[in-house]
Amino acid sequence: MLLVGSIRHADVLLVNGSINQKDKVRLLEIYNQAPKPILVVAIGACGCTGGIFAEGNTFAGPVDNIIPVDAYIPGCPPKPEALIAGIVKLINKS
Amino acid sequence: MSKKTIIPVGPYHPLQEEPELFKLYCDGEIVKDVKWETGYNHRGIEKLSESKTYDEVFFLVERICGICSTSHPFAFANAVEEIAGIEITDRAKYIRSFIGELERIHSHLLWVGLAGHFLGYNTVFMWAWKYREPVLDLFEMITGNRNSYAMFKVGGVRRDIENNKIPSIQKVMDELKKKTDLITGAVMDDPVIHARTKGVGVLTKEDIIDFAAVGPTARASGVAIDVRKDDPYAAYPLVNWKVITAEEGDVFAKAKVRLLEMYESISIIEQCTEGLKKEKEGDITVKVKEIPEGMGTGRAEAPRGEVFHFVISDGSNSPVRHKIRAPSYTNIATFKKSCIGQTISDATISLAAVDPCYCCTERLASVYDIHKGERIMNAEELIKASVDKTRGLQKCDLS
Amino acid sequence: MDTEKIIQELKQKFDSDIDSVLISSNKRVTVHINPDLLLSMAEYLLQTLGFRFIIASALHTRKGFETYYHFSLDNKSLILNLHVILDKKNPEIESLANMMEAANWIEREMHELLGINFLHHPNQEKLLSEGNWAEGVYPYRKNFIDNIPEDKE
Repeated sequence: MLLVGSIRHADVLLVNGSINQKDKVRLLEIYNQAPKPILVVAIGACGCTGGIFAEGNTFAGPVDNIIPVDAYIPGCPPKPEALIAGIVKLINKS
Repeated sequence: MSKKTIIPVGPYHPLQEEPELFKLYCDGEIVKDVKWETGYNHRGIEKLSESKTYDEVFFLVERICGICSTSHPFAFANAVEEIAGIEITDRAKYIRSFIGELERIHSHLLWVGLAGHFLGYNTVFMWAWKYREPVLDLFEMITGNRNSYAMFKVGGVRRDIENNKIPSIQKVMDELKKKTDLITGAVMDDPVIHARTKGVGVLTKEDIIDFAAVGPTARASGVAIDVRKDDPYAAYPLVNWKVITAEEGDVFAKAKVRLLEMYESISIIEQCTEGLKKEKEGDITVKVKEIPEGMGTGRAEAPRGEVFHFVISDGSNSPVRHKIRAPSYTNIATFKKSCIGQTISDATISLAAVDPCYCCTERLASVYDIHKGERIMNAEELIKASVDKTRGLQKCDLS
Repeated sequence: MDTEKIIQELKQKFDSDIDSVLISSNKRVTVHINPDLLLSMAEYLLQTLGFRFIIASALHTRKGFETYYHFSLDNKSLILNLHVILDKKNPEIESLANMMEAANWIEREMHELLGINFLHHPNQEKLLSEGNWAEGVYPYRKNFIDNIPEDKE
């Protein structure tokens, strides 16, 4: 798996951390620029549900409220083993 | 008059792990001005804190930052214990300092790796992050997690470090000393690194005082401030160590300070484990009746500098006001001084030199992505590798 | 010089302008002052006594907008808080950002979270809130109800 410099070359979009109102705008921009089909992975408790920050005043909803998500990797933070397991599930699914 | 170009770095740029928008106003190759836009990480933690009980707040502040995960609970505990006038047991002090110093080591190693990466020295990056793994494994053995350890509570710590774990700890420390020698030698003696970092991103003593910068950023410019010495807490007054400073204030000086600090941290950890052997096992917490009305200011020396927590209590279960100031809040602002006049290619290493933690600045806890530099493995191999590792840790065997 | 002496010096210099001094311990002192005194006292602490500015905190209470400026005298383990109470309807105070860069960002933050106006601040623009919450909304303000209305049946 390689990290690429531009969304236009990517096959997978990893979204970690909680999304606040500002991030939401950028996230949508990035998603729209991404060549479809693209797989989206929500990483961490914040990505999946908002975690401990879900009640904060700037929280803009978990990632799947903003863009469609293909895999969820829970944990705070997710262990490397969890990340690997999640990516493997994703590879097997597609 | 030559044309000024604007080069945005961020908010989602491959060089940076966390979102923050920097605009470098350049005249040709030289940076003339810097503007930045923050707010991408703002989560409203100070407000969230008011809705949680004191012991719940620890879980919240731990997640302000993935790398300085201990320093925030540390400072908060100091603040609350100040309000309530609580003195914790010596064993708890040793454990707290132990965790704090172990974190400093893994944070500085991470930084060395990142700095190597920004300079194009991917070998240094790989080494530093590889030798960081035993430290993270140690954390997992003691606390159950690689980041966010949930070790602190008002009045002490939540888990003990049993004396039977100390031999494993000592083994990791011995290995770490050798690896630190290796990395320090590689970084400090390389003429190309000298060329890339000496005289780059300089902050003078006056700049530091004007921006009220803290931590290794300040110590590298000759300002010898360190909360562990200036306002001692936990086990720091019980062990011998020294504050590391440098005079030049450039990126090289900052690297030198961080590398030498790792040796001090290893020494403090070894002294803490000696201290633990002398204290009674299990004596890790004192009974806390209530947090009375009052104000408390708690500080801790995070790997990046002074973390400051200010707590106002009205005698109820939750703080009335919880103000958090992370070191990067003042340190990142120095970017304005250290980058102006540099070339664009030097601007990135100048910024990285203050070890910015955007999470702390905007009080956002991002899940710190652990870039492992994975080889490509097939599905079965990947799963087997992770299972084997877990089995090994369960036996408390780190050989 | 030690804490006792510092407090004496402050009292001598500023005398009646200081409302009160709370000494929590020999390492923690809070000085309650009139907002007009802030600039001169901050200057004295920073330039004459050698304190370092840590940060400022503000909160909204029934008394008004209480702002604490935290200063540290590193070699003496001393933290000195300057406490001011700003007007409920129109909270404003002189900015410290012209005296030192360190106060620049935190004043911008206090401005957007609580609506406190820092007079003569070089660039009192948004720091965090652009796109994060609406104009004119100050999320850390509280809604105090002074007269609890009777239940309507």
